[in-house]
Formats: sequence, structure tokens, C-alpha cells
Amino acid sequence: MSEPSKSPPKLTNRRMLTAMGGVAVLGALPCLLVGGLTHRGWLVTAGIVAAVTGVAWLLCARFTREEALRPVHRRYLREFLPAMVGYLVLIMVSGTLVSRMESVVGRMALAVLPLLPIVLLIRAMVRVLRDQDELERRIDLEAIAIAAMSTAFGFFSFGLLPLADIGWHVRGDAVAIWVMPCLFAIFGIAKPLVARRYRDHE
Amino acid sequence: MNNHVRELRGDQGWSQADLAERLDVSRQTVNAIETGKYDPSLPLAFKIAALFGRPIESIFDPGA
Repeated sequence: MSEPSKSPPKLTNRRMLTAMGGVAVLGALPCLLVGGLTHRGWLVTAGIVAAVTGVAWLLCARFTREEALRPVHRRYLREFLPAMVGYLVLIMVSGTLVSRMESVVGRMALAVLPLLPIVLLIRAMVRVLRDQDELERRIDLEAIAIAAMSTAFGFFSFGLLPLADIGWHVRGDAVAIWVMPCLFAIFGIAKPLVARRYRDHE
Repeated sequence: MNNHVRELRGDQGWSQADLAERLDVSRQTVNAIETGKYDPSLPLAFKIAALFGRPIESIFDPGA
């Protein structure tokens, strides 16, 4: 067995959360500003999601112990971050240009363009789930199950409300856009709660 | 399931982080095993036994 290295870690989970939270909050500001000034609802929505996510990450960083990232999580970051940046860039390009395109085929191609980096995101997530240690995997899978069930049942129940004829008229595309943020937000809340079950005084 | 991982680690003068790095798991996993919050899989239990050079049944006690 090799001796563990004793050099101080440069990339720690706390620093990573702080950096990601800072970037998300800074990225939210232009989205909210430009979206508000140009009356683009989707850009304001993206800004709100980024701001809430960023603040959540910054709060998590405060309560996270400073520990070096394990190689599996460093690889995850190397794979996840470029794919996420690509996704954000393409969704901006798609959202801005799709309404100006006259060709139907062109509009379809632009609309589904952000799906390309999603394939890379899914690959990064599956690889980290497979390769992290058994307790980390159990915690993540429990949190994903809670998030999936809550999102599915939540949106299904919400979908029943218009049937009750209470005067609500919800646009289907607006609901669909909120599915992924809700899934990730509930996962983010569920994961520390699940992890608490396996934590004792440290 | 009870175990003697904390005592064995202490005898070696290792921190939880040291043991975690030797086992290629997170420190939280070592902590959860030591406090009995999580029972390791058979492959990880054998890895722990091999690291301390002891039979698996002398480290993990399913009785309690």
C-alpha cells in the first residue's frame, strides 16, 4: 500500500463549491439584467435558477469541511464543467436565434442544439456514479430517487390543478422548462439530508 | 454490526483521511463505517482486513 501524500490540497470540495457558487451568482446578474431590459422571460428564468443555485452552493460551502477532492471527483469536474459551459452557451444561442430563423428545419436544429452537451453531461454523471465509493454512490442514488419521485409526482399533481377548473392557465412549455431545475434543486436538498443519516460526530 | 476499525486505525496512528486514502474511499465513508452508521460491502471489508493484516471476523462482529 502506498503512503498517502501529505502535500496541502489545492482543489478542495469547499473551494470548488465556493467557486461554482460565485460563478453562478455572477452569471445570474447579466441574465437578470439583460432579460429584464429586453423582456426575455426565459433569460430571467435562467438568471433566477442560476442565482438560487449559486446561493445554495455558497451556503453549502460554509458548512462543508475543507477536504481534497478525490481523483474521481476531479475527473467529474473536468468532464462536467466544459459540458455545462457548452450547454449554457448553446441554450443562449438557441434562445436568441431560434425566433429569427425562417426555415422550420433551421429552427428545429437550433432548438435541439443544447441537447448535444447534455449527452456529455449524462456521461459525466454516470461515470462518477459508477466510480465513486460505495457509500457516496448509495447517497447519490437515494437522493436521485427522492428527486425523481418528488419531481414526477409534483408535476403530475400540478398538472391535475387545471382540470379542477380553478382559473389557472399554465403553458405546457413553461412547465416543461422547470422540470430539470426542480429535479436538480430537490436532488441538492435531498443529498445532504440523506448524507446526514450516515454521519455521526466527526 | 460492530467493528474495530477505529481502534485499529488508532494503533497505526492514522487519521480518518489517511485510512480513506489507503482504501481509496472518502473520509466520510471511513467515519460512517467506524461509527456503525454504514456496513461496508464484502469487497471493502476484505480490503480493510487485508490492510490491517487481520482476518475479517476479528474486525467485524455481526453479533450486536
